[in-house]
Amino acid sequence: MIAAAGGGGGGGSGGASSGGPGDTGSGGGPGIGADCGIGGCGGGGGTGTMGGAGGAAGAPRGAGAGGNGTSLAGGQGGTAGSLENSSGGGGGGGHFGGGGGGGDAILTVANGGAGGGGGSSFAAGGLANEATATTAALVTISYQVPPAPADPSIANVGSPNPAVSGDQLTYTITATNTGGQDATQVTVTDPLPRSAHFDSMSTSQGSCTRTAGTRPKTQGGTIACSIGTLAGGASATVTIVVTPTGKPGTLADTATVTASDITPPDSDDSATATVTVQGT
Amino acid sequence: MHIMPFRAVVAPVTCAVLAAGGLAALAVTGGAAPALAAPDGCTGTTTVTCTYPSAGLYTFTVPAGVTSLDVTAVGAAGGPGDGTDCVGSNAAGGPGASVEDTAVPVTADQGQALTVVVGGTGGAGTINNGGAGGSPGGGGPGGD
Repeated sequence: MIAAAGGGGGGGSGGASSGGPGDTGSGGGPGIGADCGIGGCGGGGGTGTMGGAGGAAGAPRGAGAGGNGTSLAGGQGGTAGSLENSSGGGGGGGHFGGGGGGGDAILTVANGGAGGGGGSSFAAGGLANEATATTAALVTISYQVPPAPADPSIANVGSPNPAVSGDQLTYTITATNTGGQDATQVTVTDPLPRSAHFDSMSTSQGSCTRTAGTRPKTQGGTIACSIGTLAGGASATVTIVVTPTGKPGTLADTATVTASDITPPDSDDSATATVTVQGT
Repeated sequence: MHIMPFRAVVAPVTCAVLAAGGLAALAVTGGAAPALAAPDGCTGTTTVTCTYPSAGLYTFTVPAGVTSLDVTAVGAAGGPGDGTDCVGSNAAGGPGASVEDTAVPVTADQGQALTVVVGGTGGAGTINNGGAGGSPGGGGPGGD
């Protein structure tokens, strides 16, 4: 579950030596302050697991630097110098809570501390890869583009064309998955024309069976080929050989491809080969 | 009293990615806070990366078929302190944190909306007042 925490808590009160803590957690161990002397700078904040504490006070008028934000809480603001006109730096933003503001000077003529950075989080088990920010605030979201859904299509070519009645005619049927994902349980069916004598069938993948037609059983019938799985972009070829036995004219043969969970079917799921049949 | 910008809620109507004044984040919220349109900051073909570099609230719509996100959230820094009588003593606020989750699960439902929140930098302290927390997602104000 993804969850977010709120921002930091309330600020420090007047005369307080530090600002309010972040929403989650408080400052950790004290920062290693570098006392720079009068008018000097405060030390940098520490980085604890619950948020770095503010830097040590500048002495006596310096401003403490803000602590680093961490994944759990913002760093607390730096502590102000002990005299007037000094203030703490703002705390860095944390993972859940914002850093507390910096404190003001202890004496009466005080400058304000800085605001803390905001805290926020995605808590989907992810406190990994925590680091101190080196850039301004931003969010990046990356994802892998999923492959296109499976989309079977079919082509059917009769050869020779024109054919001669009494001579063999070959249908070359190619089933192709034009999608990106696997097409499963791919099946090619082809009800042969009754005016064609069935001679043979084969497939480059899977197996084919023929359901004989009505009398005579050597005429027509329905070919069903179980191709199995076709990966994205892959093809399988079914070859059917017949002999036209009818009168001169045209011989139309329609093949259809199906696959599981492919809905709705589209226009390229069926293909018809129309062959002109000439007399001997 | 500082108003918290986000709260996790029991019913996850919307997920949110939040980068506050200190940090960016992803969060489930039921909030109806107005969100800006997502910026045209997405690039890539097989791997798409969307970048939200400015403080504010945005909406990221999960594309169909996407089940996992790599989210990096970088928080903003705190504001500087004030020490006007002391040259060089305006100490900077602390930097924010940066965290990354390389596998944030999202539902496979098309169109799941995530709110992206990029936090604002904490305000500077002034001679009399504490600086405000960053917005959105700011921490507490400074003492005054």
